[in-house]
Amino acid sequence: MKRWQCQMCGFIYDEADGLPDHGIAPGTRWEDIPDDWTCPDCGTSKGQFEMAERVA
Amino acid sequence: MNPGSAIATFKNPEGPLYHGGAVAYALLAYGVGIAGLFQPSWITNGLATLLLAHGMTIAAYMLHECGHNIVFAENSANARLGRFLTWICGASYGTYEDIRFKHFRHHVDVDDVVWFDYGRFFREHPGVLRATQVLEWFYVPAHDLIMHFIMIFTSFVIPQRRDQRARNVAVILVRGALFLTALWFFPKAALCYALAFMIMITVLRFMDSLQHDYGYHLTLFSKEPSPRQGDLAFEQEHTFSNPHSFEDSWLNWLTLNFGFHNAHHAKPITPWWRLPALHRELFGDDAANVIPLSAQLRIFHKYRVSRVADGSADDDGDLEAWGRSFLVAAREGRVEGGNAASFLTSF
Repeated sequence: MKRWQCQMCGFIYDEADGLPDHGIAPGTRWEDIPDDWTCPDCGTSKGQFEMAERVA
Repeated sequence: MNPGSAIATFKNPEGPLYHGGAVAYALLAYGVGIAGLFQPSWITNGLATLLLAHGMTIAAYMLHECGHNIVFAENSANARLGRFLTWICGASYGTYEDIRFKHFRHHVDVDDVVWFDYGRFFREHPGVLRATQVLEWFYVPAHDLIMHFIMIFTSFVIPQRRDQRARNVAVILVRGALFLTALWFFPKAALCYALAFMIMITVLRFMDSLQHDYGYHLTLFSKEPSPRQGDLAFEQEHTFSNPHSFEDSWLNWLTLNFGFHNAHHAKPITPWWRLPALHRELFGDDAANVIPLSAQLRIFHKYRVSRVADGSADDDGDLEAWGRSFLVAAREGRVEGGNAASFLTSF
């Protein structure tokens, strides 16, 4: 699993945790998140995220 | 808690030194500065006012770092420090979250996204405009004091923030009581504090004034996506860097490298001490790519009155022709710059 960081606001998307409050189940891989998804913290596009850490 | 756990919470390995150092300096300067305002010596009062102003300025730039979640690994810790720093730099009347919201709309929408149409306000109140221009002629940052006045009563002025009234009133009472008490018993100290606050405002707007060439748009509470959203080329073309010095890097520490604004917009989660290196990596070592301090000072002085009434909502000027030519004109002191774009203003 990986963690992805928004390069705008520092928000972390952790694949293991998902974002259940935003309809993304735990375990959802980054590539399976829709391209039009935006950062829940700052609203920037998915393209502004970079992999921050490979957890396992 | 083990001794290393506090250090481990910093996001970057150099964080304890640079972020910790900046916060420690801001708090020390604030504390020593406030104490110095109550001394009998006018010289001490003057030096304390400058120290206090700089402490508040660094606190403001650290608030900006917190907003981008750069300081601590946990975003909740960034928010806690950010909320605390709003009290230091006089921006605690509204919420930290609102400051962040507006700032990220600026980044994401590549726009100066606002609620308050100060251009229209000045057109409808010519007497206020005239008084503001007179004060600005004397270098009093009256335009930004109007913005701060609205900020103080934010929940009573901005309909979307009515639910913050209880908190807003509590902050007004606390800060107002402290200031009025000082004004009554120690008027010299209170006036020096007000002067320090105005110096901070002046520094912040001096830095912001030339960093973008586009106008402001009344879309803060709009759900419509900005047409410029995600246009990184446009963003860089219409963003400008204004370090105090390209050679003596320590001078830029006075404003935590905020002048390397292209680098900040290219990668906003870059901590302040890495911005000069990122600038050189992305834009090279050519000083012609930045606006020199001498030109900024000329513009600040020459257009301090005319720039007050220069703004108008939805007026981007001739953006097609600007960009690089704006940079050239700014380097030659031929643009007016803008007011009222500070990230401390959340509307």
